[in-house]
Amino acid sequence: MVLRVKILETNQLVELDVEGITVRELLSKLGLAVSEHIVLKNGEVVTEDDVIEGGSEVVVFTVKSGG
Amino acid sequence: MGDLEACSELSGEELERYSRQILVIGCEGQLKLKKSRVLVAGAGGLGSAVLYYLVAAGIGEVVFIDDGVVELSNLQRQVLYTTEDIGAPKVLVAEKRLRALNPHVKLLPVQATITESVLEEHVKNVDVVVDALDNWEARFTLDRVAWRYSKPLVHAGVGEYYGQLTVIKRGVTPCLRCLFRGVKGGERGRVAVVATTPGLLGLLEVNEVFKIILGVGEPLYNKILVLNGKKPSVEVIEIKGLNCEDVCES
Repeated sequence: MVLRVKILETNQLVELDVEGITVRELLSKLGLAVSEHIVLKNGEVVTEDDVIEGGSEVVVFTVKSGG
Repeated sequence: MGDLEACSELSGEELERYSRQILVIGCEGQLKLKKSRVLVAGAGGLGSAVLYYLVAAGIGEVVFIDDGVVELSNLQRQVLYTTEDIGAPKVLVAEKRLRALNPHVKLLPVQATITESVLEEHVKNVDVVVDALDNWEARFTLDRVAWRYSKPLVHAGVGEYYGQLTVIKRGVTPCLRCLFRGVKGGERGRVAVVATTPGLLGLLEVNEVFKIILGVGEPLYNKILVLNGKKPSVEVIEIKGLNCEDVCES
């Protein structure tokens, strides 16, 4: 099943062929730090141990810490 | 209270000073701003923009907390300060500038590090809390105290050309600690950022404060605004599906 991932910061669309993948594994595959990103699966916020099933629509965005 | 009655509670000088804004929000709205108290945590890049506009617009009382002194590397984006202020405590310089801008606003500068005890003293006395901080540890402390007193917390964070904005309110949204659980980092004072990003996000924070105080429009509850200043683009992401009771109520 194809997992479609939109990365807001770079406006990239990435497609991955997976059955299921944890948020942590997904971010690692994309080369993004868990500590700086929020992931939405079909519009719902998911955290690092949550599993994202193939076929899901995923949005990833960076959370900035500066002020 | 009718608008005419509200107008009578503003001085002639205030009616003239805020005349362009009163055309939009009426004397009633202006009086709501005047009777409100806002706490701003941080007087850096976000804080400079937030403080300037809160005070210009006529918020009644502004409490602002920062422990820093003005440094040369601040001046590219922290527009409250000038070259001659280098080495001076930020909150004292800010107080001087803001008082010159609008003497009607009661200012309470607090030169202190953000800690639970400092926040405990001030958060309970205000109507809205603004996060203008530069690291997650201090932000989550601010979130904890604002949550305890059920005060709306306007959050923003910036870096490079990017930033995010949301409003936290107990009973309406998840707390910041739950929403951004797992997020870490933010070395104090070492952010990589272009001059305009904190200005843009700071003004959006003030806009959220106005909506909350005036009861107009839709505050960013359960939504995160994500700014990409490079494109430029603004995306508003709806937050759902989080179970936060264990994190927020502990």
